Amino acid sequence: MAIRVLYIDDEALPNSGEAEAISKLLSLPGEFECVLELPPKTFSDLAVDHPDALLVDYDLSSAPEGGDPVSYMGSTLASEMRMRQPTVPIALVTRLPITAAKWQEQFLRQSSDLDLIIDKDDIIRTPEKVRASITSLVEGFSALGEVEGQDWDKVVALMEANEDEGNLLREAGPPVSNGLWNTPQTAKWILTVVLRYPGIVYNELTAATRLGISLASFNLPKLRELITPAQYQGMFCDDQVRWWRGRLFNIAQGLLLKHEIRGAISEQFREAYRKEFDEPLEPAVCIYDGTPTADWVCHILRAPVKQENSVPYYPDSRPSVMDQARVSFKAIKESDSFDESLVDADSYELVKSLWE
Amino acid sequence: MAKRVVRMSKKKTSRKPRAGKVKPEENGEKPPPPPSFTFSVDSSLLFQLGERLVAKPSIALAELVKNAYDADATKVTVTFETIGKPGGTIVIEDDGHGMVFEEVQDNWMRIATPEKRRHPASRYYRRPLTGAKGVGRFAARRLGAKLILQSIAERDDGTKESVITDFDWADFTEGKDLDKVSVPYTRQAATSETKTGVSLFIEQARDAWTEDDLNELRRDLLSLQNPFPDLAIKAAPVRSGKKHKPLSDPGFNFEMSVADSGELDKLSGGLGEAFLSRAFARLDGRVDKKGVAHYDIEILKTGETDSLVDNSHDYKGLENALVRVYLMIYKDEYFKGTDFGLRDAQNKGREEGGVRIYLDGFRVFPYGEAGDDWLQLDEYAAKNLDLANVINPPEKVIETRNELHGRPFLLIPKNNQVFGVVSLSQSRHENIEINVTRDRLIETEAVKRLRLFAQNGIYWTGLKYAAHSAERRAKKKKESVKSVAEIITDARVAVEAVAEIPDDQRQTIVWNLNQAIARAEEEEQSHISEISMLRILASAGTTITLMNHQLRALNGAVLRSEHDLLRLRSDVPKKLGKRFHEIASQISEWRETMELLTSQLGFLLAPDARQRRRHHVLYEVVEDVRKPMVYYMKKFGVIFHNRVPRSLRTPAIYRAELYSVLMNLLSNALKAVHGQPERVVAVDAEKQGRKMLLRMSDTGVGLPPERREMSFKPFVTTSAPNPVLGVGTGLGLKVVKDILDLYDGDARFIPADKPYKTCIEIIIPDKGVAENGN
Repeated sequence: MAIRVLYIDDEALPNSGEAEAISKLLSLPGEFECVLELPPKTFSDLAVDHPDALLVDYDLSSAPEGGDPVSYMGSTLASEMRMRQPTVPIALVTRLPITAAKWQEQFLRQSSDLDLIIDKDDIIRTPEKVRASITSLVEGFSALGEVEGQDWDKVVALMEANEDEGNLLREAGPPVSNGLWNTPQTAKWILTVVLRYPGIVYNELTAATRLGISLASFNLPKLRELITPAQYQGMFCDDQVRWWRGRLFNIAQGLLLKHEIRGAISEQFREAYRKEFDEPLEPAVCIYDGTPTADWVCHILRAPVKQENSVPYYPDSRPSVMDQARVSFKAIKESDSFDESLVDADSYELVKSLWE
Repeated sequence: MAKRVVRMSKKKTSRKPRAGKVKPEENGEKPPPPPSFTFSVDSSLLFQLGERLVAKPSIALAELVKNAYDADATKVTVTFETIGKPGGTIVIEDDGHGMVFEEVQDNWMRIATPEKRRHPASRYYRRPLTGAKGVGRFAARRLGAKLILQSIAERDDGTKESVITDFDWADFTEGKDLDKVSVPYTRQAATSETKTGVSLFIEQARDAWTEDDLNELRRDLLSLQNPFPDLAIKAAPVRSGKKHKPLSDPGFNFEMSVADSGELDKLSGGLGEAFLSRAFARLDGRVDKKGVAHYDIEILKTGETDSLVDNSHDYKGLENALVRVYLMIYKDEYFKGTDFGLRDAQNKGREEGGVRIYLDGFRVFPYGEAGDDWLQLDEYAAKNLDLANVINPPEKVIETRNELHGRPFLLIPKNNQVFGVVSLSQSRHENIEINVTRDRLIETEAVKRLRLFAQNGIYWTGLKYAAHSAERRAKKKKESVKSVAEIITDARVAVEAVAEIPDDQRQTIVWNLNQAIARAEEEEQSHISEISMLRILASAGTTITLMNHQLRALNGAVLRSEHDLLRLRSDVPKKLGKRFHEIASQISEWRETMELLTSQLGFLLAPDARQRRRHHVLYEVVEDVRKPMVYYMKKFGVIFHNRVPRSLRTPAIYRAELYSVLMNLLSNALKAVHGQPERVVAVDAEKQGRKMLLRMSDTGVGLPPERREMSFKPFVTTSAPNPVLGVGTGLGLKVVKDILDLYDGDARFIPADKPYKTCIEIIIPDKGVAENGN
C-alpha cells in the first residue's frame, strides 16, 4: 500500500518553486505520495484523516500570494500534531541557517515532537534515500502503534532482541515510566540511542573494526553471509543497517573456537576466517600509526584506531551500557573538531603533550 | 408600630406658693438656698487621667521631666532599678525649687489646677511653663502602682522642709469618692544644707523593661529637648506675680541610668553635628511679625546661599515660628572620609529622619518619629505626585521647577532624608496646643499653616537639589566629551599663566604641549574616521546575513536545476552529450563555489565562532580561509601553498578573530600578486617556545621598507585597486594589529625569501588565556 505523506510548507502553491519540487521529488507513483499543503490558519483546521507521516517546513512565516501568513513555526505545528496524532511520525524539512547557533540545531534534534530532520538539499540530491528514511520511520511507528497494551517485552520482541539483548536494552534507559511507554518516545529512543551509539548494536565501521578487519573486507559476500544472523532486523532496520554486538562476537568467537585459536577477536578473527574460508581479510589499520590492528573507532575521524593510540572522549550523554567513545591521537593533533574539554583529567595531560 | 407622640403642653407652669404659707422674706429671714446638686468625682478618674491618657512610658516620663523643668531644675536623673520584670522601681530626681507643704496640698493634690495658667513662667528662670493642664503628674500612674513623692523646698522664712507623700493608686478604686481616699504624708524640717528638689519614687513598675525598651526610651528622651538651642523661642513676657528676681537660666539636662549597669547616659539631645555636616543643604525658615515666611538656604558643600520670601501665604498666628531642616542625600560622595558609612547614614535616616515639633523646647510626639508623615512627604513620593499641587509654592519656586527638565518633584525628599525641627512657643502661639493625651497637637488652622510653612521650605530645598543635580549632569556630560587635545590645551593655558616658570622653560613646555595637541587632534580625526568606517562595516554584517540567507535559497534552486538537468541526461541526444556534460559541470562548479562562499560567510557571522577561545588547528583554518577564494585564485592563476604543519595548534583564540586576521593578510597578498608575472602566495607557521609564528609571503609588487610601518595605520592602503577585491577600506592591517594586541601579539614585515617579495609575520604568544573568553 502506498505511503501517504502530508508536507506542509508556506510556499505550497502551484509553480511556486522549491516546495512543489520537493513534493514531486519525493513522490513515487504507487509507492509514495507526498501531498503538499499550506499551513492551516488555526490548528483546528488540521486534516482529520491521518497521513502516514507529516513533513513540516521549519519556517512557515512567508506570506503566500493572496493569503495571510501564519504566526507559528513548523516546530510548533509539529507539537500540535504530536498531541493530536501521536502515532504519526513527523519530520522537519529545512535548510538550517548557518548563522544559527549550534544549540538551536541541537534543540531541534532533541525535540520529542520531531522524529527526523531532513535537509532540503538532501531531498534534491538523493530523494530516494530520504524517501527510504521516511518509509522506515512510518513502518517503525506503525509497528509500535500496533502493540497492544503497555507490555515492554513486546517492544523488545519487535526489535527481535534475545534475552541478553533485552537486558542490555533495559540498561540503555528506555523511555518507560511506571510501566508506561508511548510510540513517539520509544521510536526516538531506538533511533537516537540504541541504533546511534555503538554498544548494543554496531554500524558497519564499528562492526568491522571490532572484528579487526577493514570496511572493505567486511563487505565481502562470504563474510556477510557468515554474520547475517547477527544483523539487526527490528524496527527501522531498513534505514539503519546494524549488527547485534553480542551475536557478532558469538559468531566470531565460535569461529575462533572451531579452529582452536586463542586471543582477542580483533587480533585473531582474520586468522580464523582464513582457516574457515581460505580467504584473507584486510586488517583494520590504525589511523594514527598506519599499522594493524585497530580495534576501536575514532569518534571524530570515523576511522579505526588502536586503543593505545586513543583516549576516552565524552562528546555526548550515551548510557553507560554503550561502548565508550574514543578519540585518536591523530584527531587530537590534527582535527579542529576535537574539543579538549571533552576528555577527562587524566587524558588532558596527554592531550597537552601531544599538542606541544 | 404606632408612633408615640409626646405633646408638649403649651401651658406655662409656675410655682405658686401654697395657700396659707408665709414667705420667709416676709418675716425677715434669709431664704433657704434652692436645692442643688454638686459634682462628685469617682476615683477612677485618676485611671482615666493616668493609664488611659498616656500612650507609652516615654510620654509619661516626659511629663514628669517637664514638671522638673517647670520647677527650675537644672538636672533631672531618671534611674531604673530592677526593671527587668514588672515590680521594679523608677526614680526621678530633680534639683528644682521643690514644693512647700501648701504647694503640695493646693497644687499637687488639686486635679486640673490652674496654677500654671495663672503663673505661666517659672519662679526663678522665667522659663515658659510646659504643662498647663494640671494633669501631668498622673502620668506617674502609668508607670507604677505606687508613688512616693518627696519634696524639699525652702519656705519664705528661709527654712527648709521635707514633705513626703505616699500614693497607693490601688486605693483609688472605682466606686470610691476621690476626695474620700486618704493619702498619708509626713512633714518635717530639713537642714539648710539639704538641696531642694522633688524626688518621685515610682514603685511596682507596671512594665518589664527590656533593653530594647530602654533603648527606645533613651531615643525618645534623647530627642525630648530641641537639639538646636539657637532655635529656642523666647517666651512672651508675662506677669509672673513672683517676688523673685529672674535669674540667668543655666540650662537643663537630664540623665538616665539603669541600676547595676554602671552606665549613666547623658542625654544631650543632639542629632550629631558630624552627621548633619554631611547634608546637602541646610534650610532655615522663620515667620516674621507680619506672618510672612522667610527662608534661607545654604548648600553646605559649596557655600552657595539663597533666600526666598513667601508672599503667597499668610502665616498669621505663627509669628516667630522657626524651622530648620537638613537635607541628606544618601550617596557615597557625601559620606566619604566619615566614621559612619553610607549604610549607617541610611539607617539613621530611617530611624531618626523627619521634622520634629518642639513646643517651648520640649518635643511634641509623634511628629518626626519613624512612621510619622505629618508633612505628607512620603505620601506624595509614594504616589509620584507633585506636592506643589497641595502647597501652592511661591512664584519663584514654581519658576525654578519649570526650568528643570523632567519631573524634578520626584527629588523632593522623603522623611528619611530630612532632619529638622519646627520650634514654637505656647506663649506666642496660642493656637498651638497639645491635646490632653499629649500625643498630638490639636489640629487647628494654625497647625495647618504650620504644616504648610514647613512643606514649602522643604519643597524649595528639594528643588534646589534637583537643580544642582541637573547642573552636575550637564557639567559631567560636557567634561566627558573633552578630548585629549582640549585637556592638553587646558594644561598649556595653565602653564602659560604660571609666572614663576622661567621664560625659556615655559617656551619649551608650551612648544611640546603644542606638538602634543597637534598629534592628539590628528589621531582624534583618524579615530573618528575609523569608528565611522567600522560602524558602516558593522551594518554590513546584517546585510551579509540577509544576503547569505537569500543566496542559500538561490543555491538550493540551482541545485534543483542541476539535478533536474542530470535526470534529463538519458534524454539528451548523443551528439549533444559532451556539450551537455560541460554545461552540467559548469553549473555544478558554480553551485559548489557559491556553497563554499555562503558557508564561510555564515560561519563568520554565527555566534559560535565568538563563543569560546580555543586552540585551533591552524592548517584547517588556513584552508577555510582559502576555500572561498578558490574560484578567484583559479581565475587569476594564483597558486596557494598551505605549508602549515598539520598538527600545529594556535594559542587559545576566537576562531572568528583568527579567521579575520588570515583573511586580511590573504586579501592583501592576492591584491599584491594581481597582474604580476608570478602569482604565488604561501603560508608557513611554526612554534618558537611559547610563541606561534605565522608568515604569509607573496610574489607581489613588494612594499618599500619606509611604507611598512605606515601600512598598519588606519586608512593607509598600499594596494592598487583590484577589479574583484576592490580598493579596500585601509583598515585591514589595523584590524590585524588590534586583534593581535588583545593577545599581546604583533604583526610586522620581515625580509622575504626569494621568490617572494613581501612577507608579513604575525606572532601570537601562548599566554594560557582562559577558554571562556576572559
